[in-house]
Order: sequence, then structure tokens, then C-alpha cells
Amino acid sequence: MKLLLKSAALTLLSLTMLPAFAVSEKSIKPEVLLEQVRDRDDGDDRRSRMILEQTMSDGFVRERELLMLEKKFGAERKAVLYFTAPADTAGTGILMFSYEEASGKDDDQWLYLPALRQSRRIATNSKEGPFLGTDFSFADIERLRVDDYLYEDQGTVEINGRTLHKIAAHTANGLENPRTGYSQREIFVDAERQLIMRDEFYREGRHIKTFEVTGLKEIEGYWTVTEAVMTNHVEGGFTRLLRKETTYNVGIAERLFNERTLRSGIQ
Amino acid sequence: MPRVLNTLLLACVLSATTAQAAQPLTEYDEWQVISLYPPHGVYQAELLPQLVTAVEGLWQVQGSDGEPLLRSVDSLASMNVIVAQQDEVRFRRIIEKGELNAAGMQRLQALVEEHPLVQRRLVSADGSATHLWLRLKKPATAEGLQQLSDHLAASLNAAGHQCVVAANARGPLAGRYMTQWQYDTPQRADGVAALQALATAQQQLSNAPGAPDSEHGRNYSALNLLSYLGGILGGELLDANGLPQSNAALAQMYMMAESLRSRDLQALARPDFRQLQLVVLGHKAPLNAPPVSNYQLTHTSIWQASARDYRVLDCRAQGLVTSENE
Repeated sequence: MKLLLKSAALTLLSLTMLPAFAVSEKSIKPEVLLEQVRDRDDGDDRRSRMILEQTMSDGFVRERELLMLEKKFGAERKAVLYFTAPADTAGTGILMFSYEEASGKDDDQWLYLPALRQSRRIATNSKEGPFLGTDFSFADIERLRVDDYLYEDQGTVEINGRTLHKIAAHTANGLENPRTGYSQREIFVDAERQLIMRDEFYREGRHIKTFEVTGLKEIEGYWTVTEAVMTNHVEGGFTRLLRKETTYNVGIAERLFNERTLRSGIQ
Repeated sequence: MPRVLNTLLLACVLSATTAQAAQPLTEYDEWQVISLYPPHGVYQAELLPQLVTAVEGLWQVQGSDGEPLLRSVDSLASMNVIVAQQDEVRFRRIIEKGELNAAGMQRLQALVEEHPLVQRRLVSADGSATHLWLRLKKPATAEGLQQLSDHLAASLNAAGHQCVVAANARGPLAGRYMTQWQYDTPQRADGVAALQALATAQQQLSNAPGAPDSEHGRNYSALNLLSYLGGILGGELLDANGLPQSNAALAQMYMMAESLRSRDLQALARPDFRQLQLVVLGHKAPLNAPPVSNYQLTHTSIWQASARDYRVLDCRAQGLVTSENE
């Protein structure tokens, strides 16, 4: 769940809320700006319906719909995803716990498969692989880790009427980060909204993926990414992530974020 | 292996448009292989971390343009696989450096034998050799493979071994083939029916003249991987024949693999079952593609151990004598 609540990077999962204090668009260090993105306030909890629409290079489209609940537990974030469509995956649930970057702890995840009628703890040491088979990787949607790269401020650019800070990021040794699978990024940040609006990912000098926010809406005072696209330049496909019916601070019960509830589903 | 197949898939997708009506496209695969004979067999706790380091070092080998030669490598030292471990299902490295005690070595050996994408593809039947399947960024050349083999030898020699790149391909894959067939159907297919068709084709392939014996290889498809995954989940999702019980069970097995960020399953059979892969490794002569009911063969890819595409790295004392005498 570095995943959900505060996925700075992709914001699909992470929507945002404007900070109480305006951020100066000038003379701000890239690291500071990205920390602000990482630590942005997303509310205490959030409920939304998500659509994952994956288009493969030959035009085949696979769509999955899910209900996502996210909640802060102090410095931890917990999220639960329930697949609602298509029918053959309906009822499948994923529970995710993510911990503070400083703790060094890996995420915990559980998967409930209705055909088995049981949940299994799942673990992976790979974050560069695809998230649920899409063009997003797990590293793409987890909470931003500022220490992964070194940064260079490249000034500002105008995109869609917004002034964005362009930040060049690269690993200290120039090689790919084993956790993310990227060696270099070009990040475009909306400092006022504390959102990454565009992110270009490189490996060994090759531009492999591009993330773009294509829909943004202020919901209950939080800037919320309602649509984002990850284009895969290597394999040729793209994944569109849509967030709908989003509500914040609805008082989602803590008991919904445990294995037992995962097995019984959300009523 | 997944990366492999992914790469191949791309080539296949490109070719499929031209191949739909007429002959399926056949081409020689760009795989290149190094078989490594460690001094005392593969399952040595001291060797495996050295192997991991040596394989990681292959990414530093550069071509004349200053770019890494390597595009991907499938090996014991670099691949991730899904395993069941206590009450968890994990996507982990085959070799975990922290688990090289006696119990860990037993688990490793069992994993190699059980996982359909590992087995003879990565380790010889007697455990004396391990194979590295490489893809280079540029068209495969003997020089590139030699450069990578030399680098691997230098890395292992720096760790105290005495490895020599054999001039002739006299390793366990010498004279052997790997063939991969791709089958397509124009519309979304019933998953369980597709797997039943694959099972029939695989049975036919196993009985075909020239099919590899179990010591040298086997054929495999998404069906084998699903049987493996179903097995580690307790077997409840499988029927008596090892097939997923239903399309719902099948979809949830895909979900599990995808939630672990594994690409293996998608590479062998797309989730809509419009495209399937069938692979056979270890045969000594070309094999005919078996028919898969309701699917059309659209692409054939063949790797053959050859002077260009195969090297043997021998770190055994007697191996040194043999290669020096050649």
C-alpha cells in the first residue's frame, strides 16, 4: 500500500489534497518538492471504484473493476481491493499494508481467492514486475521513495495550462535501481497541487514507459486523479486507470482491513 | 523464461498479421546458451553466491558502442519463480543467498525439479551443469557470446575456480534443439477447453518419434505452470487430470500470478486464451508442431546448439584437461 494512499508517483492511487500552505514555485529543491508530493495529505481514508483498462499491443482490451478502500493507520497505510468484474474474478480481494519508508519493512499482502475460499499471504521481492498484469509496475504505484534517485531541477514548463517543475532523476551509479527497474526518470510536478502529472521512465538510456495524468478533479477539497495512463513503449500497450465515485474521510471501519473481512468481502 | 517468451511474443505478434492465411513463420531463435560445469556440481552452497555475482556481472559487458551486450538472461542465478513457503506464496529468486544451508539446498533442488520453467532448461538431469539462456541486444553473434562466456569465466576464476571456455560445444545441450510454437485463434477462447487441447497436443508431442527423453528435456506450456501453481495452492483448484476445475478457478490462478508480479503465465497463454505457446526442449532433430484444436499455428521459433549459439564453460579439473587437449 505504499500503493494506495499516497502513491506519489502515480497518483492514480494517490489523489491529493491541497496543502494548507502554498508552495513557492521558484527556488524549491527537487528533493523537497518530491518529499512534499510523497507526504501530501490524502485524507484519513478514501473509498473509490476503480477501473483498470489494459490495452495490449494488438488491440486486445482487458478490463477489471474493483472497489478500493484506503485508510491511514498512523504512519502506516492499509488498503483493500475487491474485484467486482468480470464475473470470473469477482469476489477476489487483496489486502495491502505499507509501512513508513524509514522502517525498511516490505509491504505485507494477502490475497483472497473465492474459488479456494481462503486467503493466502503473498510476498514478492520484485517490484518492477507488472501490477496485476497491467503496464503499471508495483514500484510505479507505491508511495514515492525520494532516496531512490539523485535529482536535478530543470526549470518549469507549461503543460495544459499548468506550470510544472521538470525534474531529472537518475540513480547514483547510473545503473537501474534494482527495486524499481529504472535508471532514470523525467518527472513533471505540479507544485501547487503536489502531484506528479507526467513521468517518463528510462532503463539503460531507453525510454520504456510514460505515465500521464489525463483526468484531474477537486473532490471534497482534495485534488484527485480521476484518470491516468501508463504507456509501455517496449511492449506497445497501455493501461488506463480510472477512479470513480471517490469519497474522502467517510470513517471506513478499521475492521475492514484484516484477513477475516477480506474473506467475507464488503457488503 | 518469461522475458524470453515476451520478447518472442512481440516478434510473433508482428509476424502474425502476415502469417494468418499462409504458412506459419519459422525462424531461428536469438537465444544463446552457456552451459556451466561447476567443479563439484550445481548444488554447492559455496558456488551459488559466486554464480549470482558472476551472472550479475554479465550486464557490465559492453559492445563496441559502449552499451551492455545483454538484453536478458534466464538462469538459476537470475530468475524469479513462484513458490509456496510455509503459509506464504512467494515470488522469489531461485537462489536466495540467505537460504544456502542444508535444508535450503534441498528446497532448491526440489524447486528445480518441480518447476516446469526450470527443470532441464536450467539444470542438467545429473545436476552437473547449469544453463544460462541469454538474449543479446543486437543480432546474436559468436563474438558476443564468446565475450560473455569469457567474462563469466573471469568472474568465477576470480573467485578461485579454474574455468575454461570450451572450444567445442560438448556440453549437455550439444546437438539439441529448443522449439517454440505459437498458436492463435481469432476470438476469445474458453480457457479450460484451450488447456484440454494443449494437453492433447503435448501428449501427442511426447509420443512423437524424436521427442526428448526426460533426461534431456520435455515439452511444456501454460498447462504445466497452472498445474504447478494449483499444486502449491493445495490442489483444490485442479481436477484429477491436473487441469483447472473451471474458468473461474483459472482466472483466479492468473490473478494470483499477476498479484505476485510474475509474467510467466501471461507469456505462455494470454489471459483471453487467444494465443498459446508450446515449447519443447532437448530434442535431437526438428519436430513437427502438433495440432492444437481450434487454434492455428502462426509462428515457429527454433534454437539449435551451434558454434554461434552455444558455449560450454568447464570448471572441472578433468574438463580443463579435455579442453586443453582439444
